[in-house]
Amino acid sequence: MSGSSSQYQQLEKLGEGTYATVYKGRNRTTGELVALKEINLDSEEGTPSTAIREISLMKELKHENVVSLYDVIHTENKLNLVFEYMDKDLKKYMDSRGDHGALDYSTIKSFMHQLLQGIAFCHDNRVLHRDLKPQNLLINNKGQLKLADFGLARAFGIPVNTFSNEVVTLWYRAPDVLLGSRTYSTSIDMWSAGCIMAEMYTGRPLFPGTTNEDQLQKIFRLMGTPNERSWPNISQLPNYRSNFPVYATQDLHTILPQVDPLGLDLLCSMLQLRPENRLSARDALKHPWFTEYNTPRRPPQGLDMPMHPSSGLMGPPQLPSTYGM
Amino acid sequence: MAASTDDDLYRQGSQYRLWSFTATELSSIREKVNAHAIAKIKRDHATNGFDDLPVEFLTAEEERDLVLYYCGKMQDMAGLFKLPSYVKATAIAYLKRFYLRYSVMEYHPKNILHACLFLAAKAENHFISIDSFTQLLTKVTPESILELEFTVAQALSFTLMVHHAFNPIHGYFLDIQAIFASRVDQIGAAHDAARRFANDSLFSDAAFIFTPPQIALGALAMANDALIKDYLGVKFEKKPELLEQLNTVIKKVRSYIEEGARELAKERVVAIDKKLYFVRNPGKLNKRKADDNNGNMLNGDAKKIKTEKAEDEVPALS
Repeated sequence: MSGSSSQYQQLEKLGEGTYATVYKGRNRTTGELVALKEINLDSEEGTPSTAIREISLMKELKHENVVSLYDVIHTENKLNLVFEYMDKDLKKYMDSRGDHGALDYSTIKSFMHQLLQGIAFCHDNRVLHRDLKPQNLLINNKGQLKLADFGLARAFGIPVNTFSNEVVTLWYRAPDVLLGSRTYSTSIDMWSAGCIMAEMYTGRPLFPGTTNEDQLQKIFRLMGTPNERSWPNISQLPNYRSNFPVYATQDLHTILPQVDPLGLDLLCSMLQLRPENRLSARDALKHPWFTEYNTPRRPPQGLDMPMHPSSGLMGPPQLPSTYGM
Repeated sequence: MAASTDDDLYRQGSQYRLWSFTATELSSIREKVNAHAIAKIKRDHATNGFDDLPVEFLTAEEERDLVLYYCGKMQDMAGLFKLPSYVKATAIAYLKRFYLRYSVMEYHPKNILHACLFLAAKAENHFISIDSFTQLLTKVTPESILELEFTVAQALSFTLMVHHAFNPIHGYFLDIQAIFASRVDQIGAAHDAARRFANDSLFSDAAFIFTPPQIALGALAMANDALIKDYLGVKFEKKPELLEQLNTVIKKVRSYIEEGARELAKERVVAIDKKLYFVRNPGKLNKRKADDNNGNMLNGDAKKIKTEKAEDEVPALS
């Protein structure tokens, strides 16, 4: 876990992340390809907090649908995070493989299943990704999808509040965040997952807003304008306006005719305006749309209390009311 | 694909995988670190012609005590920056973990201390600028902190996420309330006292040996034994043999918390620090030998050491 930078040969640039440049690299000893995320060290403040938090989270999140952090390398004024190599991001994959960006049914289902597994794992570990978008979902040539770029992610305890609302690229941003809610939780990642699912069918972003206001309007035009009745206390949110244009809820089937009825049901459950109504990642994985993926569950194991010094238990018996809000 | 239990998740995390031990494992790690450092420093001393000097090296136990003393310093410093408990607790965890990789004879804790707090503040999303560090602390330069930031992160194998007993205490607090709604006042008082006991546990090895919920239960039991007995009685009504096991764990946790609450004898810390000073500056022993030969009394000698210390060591012990 402490390789030197000369251990990796830097190849072509792959892209710009939120706070870093990513290069393709090769392990000189094993020949294995890697992604090198190069972070400039601040001469004043040392390693940027975003990098520290990303490292901190990636060391905990070991899952087949989360990109792996292999190593951290320090040179004079740079930090390199060495990640497993993935061939493309979902955006580029759709552009190159799809029919005008649209993907085929079985690919969509496989990618959605993997995306939700990755999200569920993060949420189980009390981590919100907060910036899910096609550019942050990486695909390799085995058809695996992995969540990447945890620069904006953060761990949450209970209860979750006072988060900044300047997260998640506008197009995939949940309406509660757009309305200025600062008490959001896991449900914001589920909204993004819904937007991504629709985009895989059409090849185009579902809500390509240009400003906060425009983003909300694009959402309301399709999903209907919410009010106190459909969303109690919505008027308390900072960016709520009583003069929002009133739109009726559209039938998603007419807008996305290519989606089968079961898939549409899942999509609607994720694209609920009111965060409390949004499906959790674990429940989404149990949705009938995924029947062919769902093997019989193993019987429940373990106890709900810690018994042995080697036994963990992060908290007391789970508190469902504080989770998934 | 079935959802994992919290215990499963905890076992996958770095705190369990890398930083949980039995008491025996823990002392053997410290013995190894200590022996390794002594061998290395002896070689260095030999290279510099100090090999015939009567350098007294620290024992693993002395090292541990000195680190715990600096955990107390960390608490003071966190207070200075008005940091929340969890940031302080994370910084203390970093300090204690660092010294399972290195000896205090290699890196003096007074320097590592600052880097640990700086890093913990970033990792816990409670950023403190280098400027405010240098404004509030004397004898700290931006370079001295930044230089060690990576050393600390690397020694910690970049596992920067630390779980403390505070969250589980809150969780138990809610769960106990749900069961004994009529005992609200008692439960509130137990919660507050338990947080103080959890804080005491930071100055012991508890976090290396027990899980955060176990420490939480130990702290709650210390706060209100009867309440926790009743609570666990309800929770384990049908599993008395498991309750017995759990009670054994709680009893052990309590002894660690009690140990953490005890203050280290000042004289002991001063003596350790003095030994450390000569390990790091063997040349001064040469001087002392010369002084002894000139008939200097031990008293004057000790004073001299103190004066010299004040010049190149942070007067942390004053």
